[in-house]
Amino acid sequence: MLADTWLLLRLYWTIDRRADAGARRAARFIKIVGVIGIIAMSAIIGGFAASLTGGSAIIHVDAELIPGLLLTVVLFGVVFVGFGQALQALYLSDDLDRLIVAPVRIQAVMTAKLLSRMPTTVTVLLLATLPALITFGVGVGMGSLYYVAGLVLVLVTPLFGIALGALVAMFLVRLLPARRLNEWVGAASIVIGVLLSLLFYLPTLMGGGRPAASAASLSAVEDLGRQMGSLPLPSIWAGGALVAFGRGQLAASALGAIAAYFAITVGMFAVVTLLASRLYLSGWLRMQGSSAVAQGISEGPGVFGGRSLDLALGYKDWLLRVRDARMLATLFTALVMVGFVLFMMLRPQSDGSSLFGLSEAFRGGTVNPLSTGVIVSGVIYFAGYMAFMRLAVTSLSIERKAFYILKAAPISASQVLRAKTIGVYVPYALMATVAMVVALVIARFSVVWLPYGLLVLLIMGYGLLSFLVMLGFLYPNFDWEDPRRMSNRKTSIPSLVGTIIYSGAAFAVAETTYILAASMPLLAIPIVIMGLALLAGGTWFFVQWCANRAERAWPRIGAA
Amino acid sequence: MSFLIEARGLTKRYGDVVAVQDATFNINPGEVVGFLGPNGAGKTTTIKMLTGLLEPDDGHASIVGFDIQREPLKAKAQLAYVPDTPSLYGKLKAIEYLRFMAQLYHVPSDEAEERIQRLLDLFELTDKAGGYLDGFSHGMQQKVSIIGAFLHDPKIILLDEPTVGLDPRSARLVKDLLSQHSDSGNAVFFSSHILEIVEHMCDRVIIIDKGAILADAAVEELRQMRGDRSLEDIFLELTGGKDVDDMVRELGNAG
Repeated sequence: MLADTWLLLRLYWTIDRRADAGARRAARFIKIVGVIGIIAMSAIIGGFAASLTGGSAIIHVDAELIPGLLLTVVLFGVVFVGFGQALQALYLSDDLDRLIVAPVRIQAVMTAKLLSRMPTTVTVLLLATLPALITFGVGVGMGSLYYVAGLVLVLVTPLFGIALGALVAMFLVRLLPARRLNEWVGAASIVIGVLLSLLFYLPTLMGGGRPAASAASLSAVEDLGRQMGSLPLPSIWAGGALVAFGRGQLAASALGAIAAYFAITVGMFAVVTLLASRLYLSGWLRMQGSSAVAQGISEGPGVFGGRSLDLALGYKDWLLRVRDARMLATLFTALVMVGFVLFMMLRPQSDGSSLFGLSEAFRGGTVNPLSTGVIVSGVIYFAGYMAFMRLAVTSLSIERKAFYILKAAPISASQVLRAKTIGVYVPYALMATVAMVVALVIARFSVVWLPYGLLVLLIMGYGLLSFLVMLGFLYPNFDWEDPRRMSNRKTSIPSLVGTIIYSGAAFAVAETTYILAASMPLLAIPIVIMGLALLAGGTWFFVQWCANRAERAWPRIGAA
Repeated sequence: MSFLIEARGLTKRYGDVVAVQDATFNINPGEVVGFLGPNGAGKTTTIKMLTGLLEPDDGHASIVGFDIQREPLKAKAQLAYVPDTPSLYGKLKAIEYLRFMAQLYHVPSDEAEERIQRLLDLFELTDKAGGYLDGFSHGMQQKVSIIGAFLHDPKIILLDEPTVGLDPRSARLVKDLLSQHSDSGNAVFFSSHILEIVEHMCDRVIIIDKGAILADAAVEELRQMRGDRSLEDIFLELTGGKDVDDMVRELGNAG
């Protein structure tokens, strides 16, 4: 069995190494920057944690708790990652058919599959955890035994995560299809990522800049840390033992805690390996035996039976988005982030100032060029850009390997561009309309200017989204498995530059129209009509330019 | 005589590698033409150039008289393409995919519903049509892909290895449907490795190897030209099959 495991492990590591060697220079550079970022962030967290043990810190946490809390967070992360990796390796990889029919023990297949990701997991874990443990140790003056024991604990942690993750995966696969589970793992990681990043702003959000509320929220964070520290988790005990070692206290309880942690992690892996033939093989065979459940045609043709191909294409894209849990999570988190950014932008600061205060600076003149309505429109346009940019840029990439269906069909590139733009534009237009009406009630800008502001937003939105969709034609990416990797990095700079140029020009036209109309009330209506016509005309030319670019790119798309 | 497919000097290069070199042939109405060649011979590249999925470096192709590069929409409206791997939209239900395909090819809704229902019944997929495509097996996806190709009653159907992954009953059904389609004056052009199917179904075969067309003749005509031998022998001889025979003999001797 060991020889088979070793043979398979060498195979997987060779494949991984070659995949890394084949990576583009830009991808490697991004990886290096990412590694440096992880180390720096980890070191900062450790240093910050050390500062929390002092008496003058904004919140106080006992030094005994911190390594345990760090290990617990890492352990949960490893279990989550381990679950995803186990699911992928044990149920979704391409070579399983060959391995299952080969004269190889199932334990060898499973062990090799699980351990194949170990070098990556251990490396990431060491990079993410060790700097924090080191800076914390230096910060509170730990002895050398703390560092040695810490390294050992971090090294065995992935074994626990992968084993527990595999165990959970083996049970869940009996209840749900592996592919569906994999989508839910992806979706959960997206949501967790956003929630964690929002967690950093929790005290600010809860306090809203008010000292009393901030103090209350900080005290709540302190209590949360204490409660977590009292949880009966081996990682918490091991963390406490680490601190004892660091202080030179080699008590039996500390040694016992470390030994227990070690025994649980390694033991869990051993148990899972022993259970492999019973759990893994039976689950895998069961998965192969399941066939699609009979599902007849219950509904009518709906949008697909309608007259508009544009709507059908847009509807098809939305079905793909909302039916994939990962895409749905990306959409959801994008909206949460937009809400968060808007909240941070619009909320009054502790000194009472706000974004709307900008309007005050121009209040003395005949016309206020930065009136509340202008600011509201600008914020809604910005929110629309943030919420729909990714959707627009990946509108073509969403076709993935089914792109040939569109390319072989009697449909032109400009028609596809229009359909894809409409698919993103309809929700944008709805959002902009609702947001303008809500803002009218909250921010109380002149109702007379509502139709003008809304029309400007609708025209500019169409131009911007056409441009972003067109970028997806120039830089498509059909080679993705995980929708989070759907967008092509090459679109980043062109999308930013193009957005600034188009939005700047369109804003200049819209703002000039507003100033002229507001300063000459008797001629306001013809001026507004002319301004809107100019804006719509300019946008129409811009959209035509986008369509031409898409048409020129079309023959080359998907030709590789 | 007007051809349904007219390929003239089609050439495709990938860097220094010539995938297809000067491919010239015609397909007539009512013909079923088999496209034979070993792996990597240039079959898929040629089919992709005919469908407009790939731009040729030289030469041109016409579909029902419309140049696939100059008048792509008119040309594409006349053809259907079934690739060897049916990459469909996994998150669409089979019925949604078929309705979408019908709309993409401008089939009126009522007509589309009637055809979808008939073809789903034929392929015994009616009770599965409400299921998501990512839950379908390769064979079931291939069936859905083939149904999608028939919906707009195309003048030409181009298929890349159409029977791979199909059960014998469905493979037979596909063969019958293709024959019936060609009997109505349409053309079928398909690549296959299964020489029996080609021999049985095709009026004509085109053999390609290393990007060059080696033979283009009716099966019977080809046999007569090569001393009344089987299509398999002719194919192996044209594409270097003698070496294969020698290797097999050597392996036998070694054993």
